Amino acid sequence: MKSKNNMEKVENLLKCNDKLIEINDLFKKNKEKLNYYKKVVKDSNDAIVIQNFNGIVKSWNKGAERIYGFKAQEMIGKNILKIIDKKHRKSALKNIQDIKSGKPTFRVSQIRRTKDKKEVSVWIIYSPIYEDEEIIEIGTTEQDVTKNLKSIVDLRKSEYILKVVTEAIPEGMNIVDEKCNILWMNDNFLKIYGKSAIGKKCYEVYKSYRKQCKWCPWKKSFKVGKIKSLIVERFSGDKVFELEQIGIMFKGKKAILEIFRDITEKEKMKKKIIEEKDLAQRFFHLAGTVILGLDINGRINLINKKGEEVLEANEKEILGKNWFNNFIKEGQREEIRGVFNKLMKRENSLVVDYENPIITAKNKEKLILWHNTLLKDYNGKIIGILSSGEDVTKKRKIEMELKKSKEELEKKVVERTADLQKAYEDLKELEVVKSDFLNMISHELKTPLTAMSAHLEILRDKSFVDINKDKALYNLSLEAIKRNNDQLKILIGNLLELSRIQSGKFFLNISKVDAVEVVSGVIENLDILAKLKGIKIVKDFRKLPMINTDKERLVEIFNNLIGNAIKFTENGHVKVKCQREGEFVVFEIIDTGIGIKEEHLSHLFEKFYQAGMGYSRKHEGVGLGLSITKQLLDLQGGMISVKSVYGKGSNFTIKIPIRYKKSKEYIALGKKEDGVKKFVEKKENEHLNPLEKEDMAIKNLFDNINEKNVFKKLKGGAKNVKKKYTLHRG
Amino acid sequence: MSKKNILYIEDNRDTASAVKIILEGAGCNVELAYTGKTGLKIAKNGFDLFLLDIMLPDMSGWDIFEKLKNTKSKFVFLSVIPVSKERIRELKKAGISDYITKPFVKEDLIKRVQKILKS
Repeated sequence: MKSKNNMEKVENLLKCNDKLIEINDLFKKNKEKLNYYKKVVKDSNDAIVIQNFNGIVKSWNKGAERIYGFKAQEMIGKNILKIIDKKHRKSALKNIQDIKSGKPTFRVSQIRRTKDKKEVSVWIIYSPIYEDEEIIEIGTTEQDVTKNLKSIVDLRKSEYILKVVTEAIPEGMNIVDEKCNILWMNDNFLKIYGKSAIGKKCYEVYKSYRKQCKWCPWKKSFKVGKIKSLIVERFSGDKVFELEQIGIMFKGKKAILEIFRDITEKEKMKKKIIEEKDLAQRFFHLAGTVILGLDINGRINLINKKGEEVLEANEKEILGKNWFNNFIKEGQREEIRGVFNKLMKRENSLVVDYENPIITAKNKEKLILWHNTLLKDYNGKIIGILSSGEDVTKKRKIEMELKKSKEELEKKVVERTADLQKAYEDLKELEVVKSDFLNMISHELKTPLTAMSAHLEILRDKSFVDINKDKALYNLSLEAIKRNNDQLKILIGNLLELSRIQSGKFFLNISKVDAVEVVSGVIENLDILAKLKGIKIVKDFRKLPMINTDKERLVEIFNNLIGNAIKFTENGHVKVKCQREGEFVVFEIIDTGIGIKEEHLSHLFEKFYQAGMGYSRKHEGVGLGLSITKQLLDLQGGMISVKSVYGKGSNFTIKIPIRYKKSKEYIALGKKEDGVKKFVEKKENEHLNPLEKEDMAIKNLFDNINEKNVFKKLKGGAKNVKKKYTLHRG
Repeated sequence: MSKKNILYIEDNRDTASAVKIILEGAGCNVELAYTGKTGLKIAKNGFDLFLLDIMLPDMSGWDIFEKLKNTKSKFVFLSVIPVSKERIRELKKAGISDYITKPFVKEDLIKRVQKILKS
């Protein structure tokens, strides 16, 4: 058992020994550790101080000696407050109390005093020291930051300066590194962007869709000092920026300094100026007048669109050319150039408005009215002339035309007045003519009436005539009555015919007529009359086609013409010829009668003309026959003419169209009054005695006729006759 | 009282013959001329009264009056043209004894011709 016990003892001893070795090792290790700590504390640059809760220093290392100048033996056992500035003592005590009450490690800064009474700034880390989980003491690590603080102040100062400077610079600035990070920005950039951009990617800030703004030189080069200038829009509202990028070194790395200059206003101004310039340019070209600029030598230095148009050349062909040599007429060049030169030398005053003809590039002459302005430089020296010119060619032409037409108008007014005067006189004359006509009718009616009434009275009065006794006288009166009655009948018949024609109630009854047959019939009837006078009627007929005409009227025409020929022929013969002439049949009635005086020929077809010719009394009829004949021919597009040698005979020619065509006269019938013409020339009236010109007499005559209703038998009555009454001339 | 001689110048022969019958029935001697020319020729024989138509083929009654007014004869116009009383007064001053318009009433013609011939 003893051995067992011994074994146990040996085992226990061995175990103890092991433990001892273990403890020894641990101790050894701890000792090494402690030595290490001691060494670290001892050699630390920082001050490591242990104090109790009363501030009594327990440990003071070399760092503390170096910072504060006090040796360990001078400080251990002394209160730490000794080196703390009076102002900081209170807070230092509070820090101790904070640790005591269990506040974990914290850092403060304190101002302390060295042995030399110098101020030192220290950063102090307060840490509690535990023993058996109880805070027994306070350890502080203290770092002298006096120098650091100075550099911080310097840094702050330079930051401040930078800030002030960058704030003073109106541009927004930032710095971007190679990875597009914004490292720095100034306040103005902040203002532009609206928030901090630091740390953000530049392309995000610039609202680029891609990871690189298309204007950015980032990819190409990042050379220091390189400056690139760009215009950036969009990234801050409507504003426009001019961006300058400068390659710099920032914190030892390549970066770009970006300077943003707000040019929104400038751009606006620029745009406005461009717009205004454009507008001015447009006005310049739009101007309805020529705008021409000449330099002091008369060379063209400005021309607008209108100018090109007026000068008939384009700008290139005009600019630089000498105005006077190219666009002024040769004869006027020297004169106008002279005026210009004197103007340039201020020898004469500016003629503001100047009108002169020019010659265009196409050699056309135009008249231009210039409004001139002298051009001067800043010093008031004349450098040329600016003229706006109005092309007044047309205007002057129109003015001329206006003047001319005004003159013409005035002339016309004079003429018209004369015409009116003439028309008035014609009308007055017409009154005379009308009266003459009525006078004539009255005369012609009253003459046979007088004879008839006188003979009737004789017959009624037995004291004159006894039917049984004075057979011859009785017969004489009866014959006279019959003769005059026949004459009246013819006259009234002719008047009715004329009235019908002129009142428009006249119709032609057109049919196919054999004119030769008609004329032969008429000749047969008149042959007895011719034979009574001992005149032969000679026929000279060619074959004629059938014609379209009014047969009865044709009979009337031949009766009138051949009857007249017989009437006015005392000896010889009457010859009737006919032939075709184109679209007409032509009849000639040639007599060897008394002929017609030349002065009467042109009036022959006027009503009653015969009456004034002096031989009517000898012959029946009063001269309405030819007038009626002419009108009948006129109505169917025919014509009548007469040739005559006084004393030798007359030749009446009529032409009748083969195909009837409504004549203008026929169409106009009843529509309007024909031109008013006298049927007796005024000359003819002149020989009449004062008696016959007697106004009252004429008026009385007219009234007389009216009262007696002589015209009522005529179509429309007296009033209508008066109204419709027109006179025809050959 | 001897028969008064009258020359009537009138181109309408029937009117002329009627006037001749009427005035001769009233006791006058009436000569006729159908133109002014013939009338002036016959007028040389001397007449108490010239009855003148105004519108004659060759001349007017006024022309004939102008040519004959210096004789002692009397002049009467016979015309279809009626004139005012005023005008007749003027004519009378000028030497025309009367102005008779045609057609006339037989008794009136006789009365007026006789009145003139008596004065």
